Amino acid sequence: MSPEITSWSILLTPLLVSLIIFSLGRKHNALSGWLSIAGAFVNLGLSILFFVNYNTDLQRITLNFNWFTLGKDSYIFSFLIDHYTLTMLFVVNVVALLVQLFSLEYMHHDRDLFRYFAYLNLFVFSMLGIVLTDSLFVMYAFWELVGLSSYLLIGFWYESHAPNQAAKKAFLMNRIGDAGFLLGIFLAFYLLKTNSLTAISHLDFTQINPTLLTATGLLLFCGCIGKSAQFPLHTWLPDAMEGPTPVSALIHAATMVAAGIFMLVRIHPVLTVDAKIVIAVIGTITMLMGAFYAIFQTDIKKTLAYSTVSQLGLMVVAIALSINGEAAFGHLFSHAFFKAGLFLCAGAIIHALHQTGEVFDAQDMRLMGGLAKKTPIIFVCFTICSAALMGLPFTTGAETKFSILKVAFDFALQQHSQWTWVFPFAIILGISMTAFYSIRQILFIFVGNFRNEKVNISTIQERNIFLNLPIILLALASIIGLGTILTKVFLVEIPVVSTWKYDAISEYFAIGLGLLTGWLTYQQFGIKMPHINTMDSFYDSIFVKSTLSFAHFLHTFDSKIVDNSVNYLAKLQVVFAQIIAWFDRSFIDGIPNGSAAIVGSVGRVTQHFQNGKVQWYFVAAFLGILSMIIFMAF
Amino acid sequence: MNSIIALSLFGIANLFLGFLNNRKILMPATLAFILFALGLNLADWNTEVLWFNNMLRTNNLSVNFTTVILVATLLVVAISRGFGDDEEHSHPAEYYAIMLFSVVGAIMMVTFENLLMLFIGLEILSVSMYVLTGSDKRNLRSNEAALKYFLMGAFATGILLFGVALVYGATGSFSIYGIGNFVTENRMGQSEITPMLYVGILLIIIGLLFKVSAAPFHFWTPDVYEGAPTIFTAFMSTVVKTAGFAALYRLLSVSFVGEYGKWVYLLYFLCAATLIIANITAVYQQSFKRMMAFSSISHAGYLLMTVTSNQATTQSSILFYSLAYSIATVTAFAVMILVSENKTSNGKPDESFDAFKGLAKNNPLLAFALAVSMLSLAGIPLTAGFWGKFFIFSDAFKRGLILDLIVAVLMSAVGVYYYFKPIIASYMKEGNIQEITIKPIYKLTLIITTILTILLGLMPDLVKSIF
Amino acid sequence: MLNIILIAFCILTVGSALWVLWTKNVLHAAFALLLTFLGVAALYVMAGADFLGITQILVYVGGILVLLIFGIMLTNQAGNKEGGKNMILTENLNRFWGILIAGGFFGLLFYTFTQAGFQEVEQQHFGEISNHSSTIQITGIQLMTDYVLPFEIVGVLLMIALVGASFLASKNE
Repeated sequence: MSPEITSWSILLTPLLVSLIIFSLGRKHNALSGWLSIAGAFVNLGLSILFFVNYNTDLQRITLNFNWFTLGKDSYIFSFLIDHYTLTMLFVVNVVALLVQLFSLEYMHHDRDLFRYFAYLNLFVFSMLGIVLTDSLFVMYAFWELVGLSSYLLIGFWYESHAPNQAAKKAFLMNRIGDAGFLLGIFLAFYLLKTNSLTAISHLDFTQINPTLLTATGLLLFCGCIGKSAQFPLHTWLPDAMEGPTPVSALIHAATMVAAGIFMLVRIHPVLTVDAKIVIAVIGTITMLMGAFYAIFQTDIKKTLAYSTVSQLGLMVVAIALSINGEAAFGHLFSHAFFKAGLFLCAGAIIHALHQTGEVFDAQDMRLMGGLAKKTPIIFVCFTICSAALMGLPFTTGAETKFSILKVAFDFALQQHSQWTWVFPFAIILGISMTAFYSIRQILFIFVGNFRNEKVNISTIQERNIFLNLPIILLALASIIGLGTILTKVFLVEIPVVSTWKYDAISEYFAIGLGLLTGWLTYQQFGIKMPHINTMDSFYDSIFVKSTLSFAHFLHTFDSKIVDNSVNYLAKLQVVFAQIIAWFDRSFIDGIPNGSAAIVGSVGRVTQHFQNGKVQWYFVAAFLGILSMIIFMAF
Repeated sequence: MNSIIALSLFGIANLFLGFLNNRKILMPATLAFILFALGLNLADWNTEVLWFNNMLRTNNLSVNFTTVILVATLLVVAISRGFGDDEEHSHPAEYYAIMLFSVVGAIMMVTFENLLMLFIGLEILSVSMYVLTGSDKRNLRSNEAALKYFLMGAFATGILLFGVALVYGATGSFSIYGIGNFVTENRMGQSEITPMLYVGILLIIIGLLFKVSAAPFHFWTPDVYEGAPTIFTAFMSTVVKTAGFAALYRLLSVSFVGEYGKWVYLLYFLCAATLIIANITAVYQQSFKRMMAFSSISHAGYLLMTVTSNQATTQSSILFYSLAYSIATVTAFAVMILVSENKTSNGKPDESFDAFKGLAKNNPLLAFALAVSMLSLAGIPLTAGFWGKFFIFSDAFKRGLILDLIVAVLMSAVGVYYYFKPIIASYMKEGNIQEITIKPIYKLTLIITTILTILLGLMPDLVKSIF
Repeated sequence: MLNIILIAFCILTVGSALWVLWTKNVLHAAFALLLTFLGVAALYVMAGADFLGITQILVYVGGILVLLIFGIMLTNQAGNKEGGKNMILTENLNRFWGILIAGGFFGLLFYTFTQAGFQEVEQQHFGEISNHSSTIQITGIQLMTDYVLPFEIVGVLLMIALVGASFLASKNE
């Protein structure tokens, strides 16, 4: 198959599946899942085929399709096929397939199953769009679509309040980032005269105003801040856990949040040194903050969510510090598998607890414990994925994390400046914290005694192939063996100029320290967890309240100010109405009392006008005119 | 010009048709009249004519604007359902006649060459709108809205007329090119310009800003839009807005361009203020109609931005935006009319967002049309509205209106929030709306507008290259 | 002599306008408005705009004011039925804003017109017109030649006003 047809069919299959599922409707709920999985299979096959045929080193194929032409500007719809694209196609399709398999069992009781799968496919379509496109404008279009479908999926259980709020929050937070992203795209187009990613990567940036270029890079980075949940817009991601757990695995761990990182990898050439420093600082803050918050979570999914925030921060740092995006992309790749695995494990545990039929918070880790005996497969898989998250040896995570660390040390060594050492050591600190909360999470869930008195532990069981198969596969993909093969095939070697000789030792020391302290605190304090405030309350007081009061002010001005003024107008209305009434009486029908009804209604109108507002409109308008004249004169 | 004559005659013809007992003939007749006028208008393509001693100018720009106006009118008439169905609207002949007459005014506003014609056109349009706003005579809100609109409109007219007088005094000309030449020559620095000119220019601009409802002259808009019968709200928010911006654009780009530095900063601020006030207030509305009013104000802000940027592409941007906006607005109102009449509260049509709850379940077409129109108004990609905003933003960008651009992008982000409310209500909330029966022509209109919105979103060059 | 008459008319106009503002009786306000219109018409005539002066009297005094007074007289008041006085009284509210805005607007216009340089403007653009003794003839010719289109198209405007008025005032069958 030609690359054109392949890429179009990869892009459009999910859309087609989505439309079919939608049009089939609720009657075919059962069918929708299988249809969706069939589509995902086809797509995965195509992606692998595509990869095998076109992944030669450094080959970039750009497929151009002329969209439309206006005057001198022609708008091109184009695909960029390179190593990154092909790898991402594989990742998205694999995780999507596994998640859909998982969903078959996890969601099977849901009334609106068809809607779920339709949204899921819509999401995959828009994500693939981001991956495939060569144009920043088109990327923005798909970027919005990703936001929309994620909004729909987070709010999938719209009957309850929390998912609705979470969906809204995610959408709005993303919009803030997107606004910056759009401005960045405009600025890039203005500065570089192109929006093609291929063209951007070949540009000579020496002729361009460095300040504006920095601004461009930072504005584009705003998109990443929103979508990849970077500080200070990271708060939506933990809330987004209100959505179905498989969705969290697909969107909020493996793919959508990775879109920001992917975009940064794409626009890497645009980033100036100054922009990179800012990005690195934001990434570092996000990484440490996410890890810090993850320690204090009691909800199994929230811990993973903050852990995701932290890992995304790590990737952003990696992009900022490296000369190309390979290191971050590598971690993105391995993270997609092990984090999706962790989320699906969490989903499986929640599912198992729900199956007991009791009503309680199935996501609270304080109500778990000792599940290792009951759910051995989940336990093993969770531990493997967690190990990969920590970066323990023999996992994919170890390799990719270590490359990031090496890149950071390389950066610090190259810069000849003391403070650049902050970044590698922050990463080491982050690694240590990751080990800390991960080991605690495992201990909480699987070790010790079962702490929920409502449920008889013997009723808990893992039983379903649809739940276990995806988990096992993802765990396998995260560990030596399958994982090694995958990384060998899909990732490239990361060139490093200089290395710090203690890098490996310091990393393992950090992991060890994290594990040890995690284990010790568990021994010492058990499941007690102090409550800390996340940034939500801060946002609430600063932004939400001030906006509310401003809007309230506008609203008051618009409606209420004047309850007790008026009168002239009312009288005028009386006069006006009387003229009509008189006209009516004398000319229309000549019956003197014919106007009684109208007069009555006039009275009501007058009454209504007693709190009319037109005078204040005049006041506002006149003040406007006056100030405009004064403004113009001086 | 031909379409002006034709429409004036058709208006009178419509009044006579009202004598017939058969009311059903009125709507098809009006549609035919408008189509005929559209044909006459398109026949003027690529001809440049000055009419009656430089009173009107027909050129491609005016043909384009007229087309947008006539298309919007056509759509509004198509969803008017003949008015004859209920007692409230028992004078369909008058309605249609007044609508046709008002289009005459609107066309004059886009073809004028002489400020007198602008004034008369504006008055024809405004007076028609006062009448149509108050046409629901038994509804107090409608009466109140009409009176408010009348008072504010008369005030605006006075301001505009005073401005025209001052500009005439300062330049000795009513012709927009005459004024333009005078302003440009004086800018070159022969003689001192009298402050009368500046005040005149300002007052004319303000008079027009009233009509297009830009802040701080927008206060009447929500009340009037809410009070007027919905069908005329749709008419107002499309035709009046397009005509107003066409007039503003012609004046600013031809007559006052010599003093660009004097007025641009003013519009710069007003544009930002309009966007902020409209969008933030819209978030807190509970009524769909009122939300649409604020949305209309915010679109005035976007259009103001492109008028301010004064680029070569500005006219096509205004045209494209107006077209995209008009189509989406008419669709939204069309759906709203059906839904609100279907679900009444206290005997009145329910115009809040709650009325849309559960619309998608039994009325997929209506829900889809509503969703597409809202997405288009919000400027989500792959709809016509996205390109409308895109062209406007790129114009502003070329001029370097960075601050306005930032405000506009942020506010369009806010806009998404309230445009999503009806979509959420219709798709994601539970409700019990039974299947609503729709007349064929109504359905056809909805389908056409929805397809157009998506088509223009995929291929904006279809019309943008013409404009 | 001419100056004295001018000043007298100015005082008449401004004084009666102030009366309109200050009186609480709407009928008094209407009559005071009559004086204002007359004063303005006289000022027009003295400025050489005789056509405008006549129009002012015809339209405002002859048309609008009569309509206004009709309306006031036909307005039903409670006192009417009980044999009391038929008066419509209003209150003066929002004085602060009213005075502020009116004063501000007046100040700005005053400044504009003092700076306008009317004589220069007249020489520049209107020298020819000011030579004619009466503007009526010139206006008539212009209306039928150069400005025939606006003259005709005002018919549409009047048509709408007529249709609209009869439609709004009529009852629904």
